[in-house]
Amino acid sequence: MRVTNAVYTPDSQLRTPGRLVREMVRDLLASRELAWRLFARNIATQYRQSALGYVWAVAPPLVTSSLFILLNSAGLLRAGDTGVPYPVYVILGTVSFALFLDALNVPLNAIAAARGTLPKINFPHEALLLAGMGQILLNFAVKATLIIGVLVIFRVPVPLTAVLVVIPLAGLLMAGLAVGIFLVPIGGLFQDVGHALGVVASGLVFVTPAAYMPPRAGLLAVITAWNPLTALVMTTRDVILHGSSAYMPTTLILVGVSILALLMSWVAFRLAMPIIIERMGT
Amino acid sequence: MVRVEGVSKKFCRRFRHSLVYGMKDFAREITGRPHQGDVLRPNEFWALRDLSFSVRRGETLALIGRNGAGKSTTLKMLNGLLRPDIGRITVQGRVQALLELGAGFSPVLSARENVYINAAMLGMPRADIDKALPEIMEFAGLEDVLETPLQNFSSGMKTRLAFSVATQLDPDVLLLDEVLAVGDLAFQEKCMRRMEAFRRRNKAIIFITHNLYQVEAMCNSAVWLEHGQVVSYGRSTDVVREYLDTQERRTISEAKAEGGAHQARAAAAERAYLRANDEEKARKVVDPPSADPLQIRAVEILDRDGQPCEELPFRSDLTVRIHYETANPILRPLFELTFVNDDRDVFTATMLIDGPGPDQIQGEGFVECRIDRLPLTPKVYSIMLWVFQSGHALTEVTTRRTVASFRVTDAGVDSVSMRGPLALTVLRQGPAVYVPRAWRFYDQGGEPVATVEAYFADDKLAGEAANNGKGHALAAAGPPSLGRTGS
Repeated sequence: MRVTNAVYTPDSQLRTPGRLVREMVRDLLASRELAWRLFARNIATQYRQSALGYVWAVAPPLVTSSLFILLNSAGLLRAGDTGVPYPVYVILGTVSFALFLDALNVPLNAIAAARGTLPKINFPHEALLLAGMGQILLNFAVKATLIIGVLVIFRVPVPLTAVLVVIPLAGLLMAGLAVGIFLVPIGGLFQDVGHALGVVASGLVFVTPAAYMPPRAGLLAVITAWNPLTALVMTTRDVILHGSSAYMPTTLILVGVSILALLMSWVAFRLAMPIIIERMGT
Repeated sequence: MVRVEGVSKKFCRRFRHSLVYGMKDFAREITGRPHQGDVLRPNEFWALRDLSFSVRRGETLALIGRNGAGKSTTLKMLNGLLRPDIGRITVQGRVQALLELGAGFSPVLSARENVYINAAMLGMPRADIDKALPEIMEFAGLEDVLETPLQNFSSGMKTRLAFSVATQLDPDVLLLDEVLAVGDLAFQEKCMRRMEAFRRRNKAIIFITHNLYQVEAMCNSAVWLEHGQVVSYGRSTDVVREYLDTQERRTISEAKAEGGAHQARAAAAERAYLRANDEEKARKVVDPPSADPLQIRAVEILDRDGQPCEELPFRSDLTVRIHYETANPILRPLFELTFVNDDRDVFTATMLIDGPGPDQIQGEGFVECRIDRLPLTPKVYSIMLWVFQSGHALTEVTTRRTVASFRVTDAGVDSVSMRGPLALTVLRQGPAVYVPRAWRFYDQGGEPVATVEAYFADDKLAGEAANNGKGHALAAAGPPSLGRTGS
């Protein structure tokens, strides 16, 4: 029961930007409670049907990290001079990278999961994104225990300025969400996008310096230099370990860009949803 | 409260095309270019064309029509789930749509958890849900299974729960998609009461139904859609009448096509028989084994003035004229006409009761059966004919088969006292026989307080005679005079 005094016309919503913005704000506010309900439901259904529960949140970065550690110990991987015990370095890298990956996947997954409801009930769709965001944060909190565990085990001191880590983490979250939401208009129609996302994500971890120091030369050096995730992942790790990072200025710019991108993706999302819902059938 | 102005919506037949068009529409949307709604692209069709109607406060509008007529599409557009390609929809006030009960229910969660999510999706604040929960469960009759996972519920229970949640909200405009067709009778009754209460509180209701009783009983107006086009829009009784008229005409033309085929087959068999007969004649005369001893040439339905017709007004006089031909004499023939509606025998006019005709008939001739004030309600009927002879023993001289069909229209129903809330629908959709009657209410002292009479204008005197205890109203109609010829 969301609409009060509605007018539906075929014209693009961009032609009435004032109304669009008003509706965006209204729906965002209206969706908070529903988002919380959906979040709670997702968690409940997810863990009610699972025996190991939260283990599945930490398993992926744990396995990836273990593989890197194995490769590194066998001398097959030249991680470079990481300055800290390699497991600490790699866990920090993969966990922060996993935050981006989670955020990237959430929008499309949320739409797909709501397939049964979307063509039947008109509710603020922002709730799906907000609930997804809640789930990302919860998953990250679980994964963060890995970081704490490894820091304690290897007795790595953490500086006070490590709290600045929220800046690159917010960047990773927003960048992932923005890209993920931008993919909704196409991915909501063609499933190819979802498949492609899986392929790209599995490769992305190797071209992001999650498990190695950014190389100085070669093709990989060029790729990592242009990969915006480099700055965000490096800053996260540097700030936790050293309290500061040379990548911080780039990170701040990226955070600003992410905020803008997120707002734009939100508009695109709103424009696309009616078109997607129409094609979900009955 | 709700205004729909010249709304059209197109859909795509091919799924893949529709996805590509979706991308193009999105591109147009994001660049803000004007929507070219009135152009059909390849494989597209109009799911809805130029629909206009309005619903005011306290009004109820029904959407009727066959599947795929565009009814659900209309509701989805009113709810904002789909956008019109042409036209404009204005809705004032809060809208609540029940397009499918139980959408979004999760089977692993308990009834209570599902109520909270469902209500939140429909826009109910948490505090309100807390307050409404006992009433929701009570209305659904599910107080005892609050904590049971929904997967253990029957579909009926889920439906009840969903309806209960949805109507707990207090929208200004309620949109319902055939949800009243589910649940047991007692629950349907409850739903109807709740909708009635809605209407009394000056809310607007728009709903889809196949139940014409509901349309007549609950709606002010109705829209009849067919293949996305509006066939009729207006007062609900008018629309229902038109809808039924068309459906019956369809039935009668189908019946005619069938009857025609039957006659053609019979004629072909007859020609074959005659040919064979010619060849055999020289040798010996044989009885045709398959052909009937009595041939029916034609059956006519005649109206009050003796004119052949296919439609008769309600309670009009009817004559059935049967043209026959028989080579051999038929002794003491007995004709039987059975009136059939919807595969059920309604009544029989049979000489097996009334008594046989002349001692013998031979050659060509015709028989008429006249029925005064045919007591059949407005519907389509077919007539089955069966002829016997009762010479030495009772034997059939034709096979029993359908020979004609006709339709009783609701013209002339106004001569009946029709003040009931469902007069038209019950008359047209209810049982086939209408019998005049009178209702009288008496107080404790046996004094009459009210009379409801359902006599016909011309039966009125007879009815009053009956009041005096001098005889039955129908007796005054007199015995049918069989001798009367039509034309």
